[in-house]
Amino acid sequence: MSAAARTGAPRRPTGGSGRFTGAAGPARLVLRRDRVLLVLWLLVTAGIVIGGAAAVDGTYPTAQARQDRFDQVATIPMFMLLQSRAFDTTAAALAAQQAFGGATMCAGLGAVLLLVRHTRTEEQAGRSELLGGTAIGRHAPLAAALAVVLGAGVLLAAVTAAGLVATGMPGPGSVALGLVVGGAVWIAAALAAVAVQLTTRTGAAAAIAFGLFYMLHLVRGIGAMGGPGAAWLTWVSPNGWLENVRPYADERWWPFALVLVWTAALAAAAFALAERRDLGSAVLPARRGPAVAPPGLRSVPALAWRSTRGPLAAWLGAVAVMGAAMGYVGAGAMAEYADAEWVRVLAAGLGVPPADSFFVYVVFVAVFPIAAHAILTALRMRTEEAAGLGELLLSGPTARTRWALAHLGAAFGCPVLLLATLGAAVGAGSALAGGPVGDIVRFAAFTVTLVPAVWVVVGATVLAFGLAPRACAVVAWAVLGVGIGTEIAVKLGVLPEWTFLVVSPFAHVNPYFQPVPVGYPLLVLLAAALTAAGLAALRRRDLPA
Amino acid sequence: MSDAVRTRNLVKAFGTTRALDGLDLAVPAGEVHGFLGPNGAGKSTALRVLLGLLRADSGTAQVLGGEPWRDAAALHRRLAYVPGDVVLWPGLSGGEVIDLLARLRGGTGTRRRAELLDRFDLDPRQKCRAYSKGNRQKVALVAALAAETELLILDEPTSGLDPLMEAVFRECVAEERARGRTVLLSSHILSEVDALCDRVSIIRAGRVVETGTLAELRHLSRTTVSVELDGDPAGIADLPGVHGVEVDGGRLRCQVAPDRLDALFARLAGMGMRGLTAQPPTLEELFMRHYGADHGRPGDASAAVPR
Repeated sequence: MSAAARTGAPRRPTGGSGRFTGAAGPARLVLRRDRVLLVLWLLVTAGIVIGGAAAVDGTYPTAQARQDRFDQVATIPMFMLLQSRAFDTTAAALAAQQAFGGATMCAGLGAVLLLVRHTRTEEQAGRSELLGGTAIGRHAPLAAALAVVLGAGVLLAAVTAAGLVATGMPGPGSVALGLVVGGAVWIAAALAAVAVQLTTRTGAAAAIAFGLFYMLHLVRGIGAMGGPGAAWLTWVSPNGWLENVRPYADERWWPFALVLVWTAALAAAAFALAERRDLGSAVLPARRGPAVAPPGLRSVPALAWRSTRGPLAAWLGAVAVMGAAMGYVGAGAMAEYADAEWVRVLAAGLGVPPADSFFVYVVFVAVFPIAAHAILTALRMRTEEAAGLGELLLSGPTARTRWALAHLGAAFGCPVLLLATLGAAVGAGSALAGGPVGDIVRFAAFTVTLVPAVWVVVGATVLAFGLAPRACAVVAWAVLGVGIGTEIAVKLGVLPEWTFLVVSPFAHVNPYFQPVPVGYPLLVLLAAALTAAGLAALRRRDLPA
Repeated sequence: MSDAVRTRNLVKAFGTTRALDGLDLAVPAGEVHGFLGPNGAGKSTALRVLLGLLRADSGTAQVLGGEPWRDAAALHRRLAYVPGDVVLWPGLSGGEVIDLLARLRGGTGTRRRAELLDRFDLDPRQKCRAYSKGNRQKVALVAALAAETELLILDEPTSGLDPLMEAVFRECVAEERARGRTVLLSSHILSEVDALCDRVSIIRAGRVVETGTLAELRHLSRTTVSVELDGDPAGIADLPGVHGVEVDGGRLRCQVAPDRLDALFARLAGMGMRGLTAQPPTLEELFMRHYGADHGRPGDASAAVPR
């Protein structure tokens, strides 16, 4: 066909000219850029399911224990809201119940972040334009990103199923549970494909997609909590379709057909929207800003606040809703359960009254995402520096320390606000459900005591920012990851207790480890020392580094 | 006249690369100084050292009489900077960025701001994420010019501007000079440098290889002479200081050092000249001489003009 190609005339390569032409190229690019991230995400997600399944026999060794757990799930709405219903008293079915919430959320979060990263982020960075100038169709980048993420979903289903079978779980149920996790990837990826058409802001696109995905999970949960009368709600939400697969409990396969329809419909909608917009634009028009800065925007702290307030408001809202929901549904059930054996054991371990034990437990899980938010806030100065914004600001009359302190004010302040809100919301929910109004203050006072531990993590981030700015994100997440990892390892008995006390600041505020009062000021001092050392290092180093 | 910027033997290494290798730069107060050099010569590194963002390994730097590393924030009140690659806060509008940067300095020259926005034809209400490279550059330029500081440090400020806007930029810089301000202008656009700069410094491999007024620099380079002669131009090639002689019948073309022009024309005068053109070296030739990697030792004025 291209005989003329060798005659010295400009080559005229042949090939399709459709909108999806050449999607294989961008797909390979996605795989090449994110080969590590993809594998990590798949391993963590599969690990949540397989690890839980491997441990379930040890957690519920007897038929009585399994029956207790089954009853517990049926009576405490929190489990149904955040995890899922239990459909059988077998160990396998209980493992599926426990894994459902965490695994589908992890699968969905990864799918959303990857899809946004390879579509809207690329478009905003101008790299889509570079690619779009080559011989690929208009929809090739979106098609490529979707293909990779959906493919990863299939792979995740296969890996999860294989791992479950390897731990000795029944075959059909394992395949079903694997497909449930893979299905979550498909549902969330399809949502993200539409969300990236709606807004030019990458963060907003991810928040819309994952926020919707999480809301659909909660809609399913409300249906599950409501008993048979509200069961229809579990069929309204695609996450409910996945729950209704019932792995290891007389599996239903046809809900997967609904997932396929959902994915196809949303993908078609995404391509239709993409067809109607220009590269770099969005369905929702980009808003214009004020021509003159508002009077408040006159200092670096004001600027830091400007970039903090949006995400903070979203986090505050999420924490308040979650806290209130847990307080509301938890209070009655916990009062009922305060006499049960397992609650008393848990409470004794934590050193709190039985009625509070569940809250304390929940709060300790919630402290990690709040610490993650604090890290993200502290890392913003690194992002600013790497992007070149630091240079622009610091070429004006702003001293480095002041610039860093502006961001640190947010990083130290946000966890205080978030933890106080969490405690107050749990207490308010509990009060709404008939508990004492004093709970609001009591729980807020408790959650605020966790702040020093978060501050130490922020302090470590600042030190890394001063000494080794390029490694600072890795160091920050490693500090948090090691803290979480050792806690899990210690609880599983893999590591001795002292390791947790040594490597994790969270051990020193955790009632389970009977913290001493002097520990709190010591943690604050440690955080202050780390921060001061980091700021001193920042004053001595080049910028940007 | 005192120097607004003065560096002596400035050295800055990144790992094994010596980005600055004994940089001596002097910018007298009140002049527009061109800062030229090929990519990777160390221009931006030098500017960042002058801003106190990078710390020099050795040597001294003085900006407006202060030490940039130690007195960064205080000095920055008296200078304004436009980075080569302007990055802005994506969620802020251009107007907000301009106001923020102005307020951080403590000033709010609203009249000057409005005038500059108008001259640069910039829409201050767009969010920065929607600006093109040229518009981001305009935001930084408006912010810097509105600051009315003693010293302007501009790193390739017009690389994204259209010719119309470049003309506006030239007007603005000329006005700044008229007000007695000092401008250190790093640029690749030679016509811009030619039009604006009192003096230039050419940097290569972290060192200033040439500095002076454009006239001085031209003076150091050869003039290209083309003549049409009746007679035979024999013996011209043997004259000292005459290079690259090309003879084509009665036409002669050669390059000659400025101090040998007299001798050349004395000889030509007896040969029946019919036509003559003499071209001073173009700025481009001057820079090519220093930018090109293999042509002569840096700073050696007698090095051959590439041709």
